[in-house]
Amino acid sequence: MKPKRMKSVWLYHLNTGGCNACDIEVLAALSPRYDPERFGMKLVESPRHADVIIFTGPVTYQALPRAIEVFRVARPIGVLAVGACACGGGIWHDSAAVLGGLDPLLELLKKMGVKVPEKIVKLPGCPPRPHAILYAAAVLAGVIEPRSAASGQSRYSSPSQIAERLAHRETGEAQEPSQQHR
Amino acid sequence: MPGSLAPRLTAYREAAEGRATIRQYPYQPLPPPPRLRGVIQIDPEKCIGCGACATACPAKTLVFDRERARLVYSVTRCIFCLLCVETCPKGAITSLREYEILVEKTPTQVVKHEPARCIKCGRVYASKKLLEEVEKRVKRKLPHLKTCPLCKLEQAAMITAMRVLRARQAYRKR
Ligand code: SF4
Ligand code: SF4
Repeated sequence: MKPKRMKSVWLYHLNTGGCNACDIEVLAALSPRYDPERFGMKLVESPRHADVIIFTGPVTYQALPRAIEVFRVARPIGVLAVGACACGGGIWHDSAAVLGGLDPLLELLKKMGVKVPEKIVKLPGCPPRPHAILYAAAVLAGVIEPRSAASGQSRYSSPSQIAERLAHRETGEAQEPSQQHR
Repeated sequence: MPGSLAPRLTAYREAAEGRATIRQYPYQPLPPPPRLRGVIQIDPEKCIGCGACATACPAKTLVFDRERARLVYSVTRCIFCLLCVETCPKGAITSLREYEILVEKTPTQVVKHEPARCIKCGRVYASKKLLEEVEKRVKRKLPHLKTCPLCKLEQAAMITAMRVLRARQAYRKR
């Protein structure tokens, strides 16, 4: 494995009004069973020490000033939006009390002149599995490459591939047989 | 309480065997559990465009656009509850057992349908496949399916008004 960066990736966990399911899964992903410390990842208490923000929740207006403050202080290199709420508002997307996830928040930060991170990865799910959070964190830190569909390892892997697969489905062409839920 | 002890015993055994950490995980994919819920997939052949799934969807990430007779699904807001899978009358939606869903933008799937136009006002109000399905189920032709709900409402209002008028005239003659 080639060294990708000078420093280990330290994580700051920011909940902006989620129901805590994603937070519990994030903590599970940080537990010894999944062991992200082998990649040098650890949870830090202060946003000043953070490189990557693990972002959960639909950004309620109560949490908005704190979220802005955290982004202003942390100046992270990446954001990992965990859960449907953080990705696009989830089931609260049309609520009057929420901003609606990461995208509107980043727009707001841009308007305020705060530096927004370049690397933004979203992990939908309600909540996503700890495995998926570990995978996403490893991809964000550059530990592993996003799995390619071509290698047959995983169907949904890199962001472009999921878009490609879904676009492919629109035309109704032959696809590989899917495993059915029921 | 053997029920609460069993998982702990499993954890101790795994720790003793050196399996406590999932060492291979982000490097090697792990097989998903059998009942995992993942991204949904809509079969454009089977879908009739009834919009029942869009009504059931709690996140409203599966939207049926009646004006253009198309079904739009975007991944990011989906909570993978599979209510749409349970609701679909044709079994057109399946779920993929996949959890490594990492996206940057919002990937969408669009299922386009042949639009059915109202014979009175010309507005698109449903998909042709849905009307065919309805006629197939009741096993006869239904001419009133060819008008949109708004025109039907107008028609019903007219009929009611005529009835009231006639009743009033009959009352006056008495
Ligand atoms: S799985 Fe649930 S949230 Fe996702 S599209 Fe279906 S009904 Fe909507
Ligand atoms: S419920 Fe099934 S048939 Fe109806 S629009 Fe949704 S996918 Fe198509």
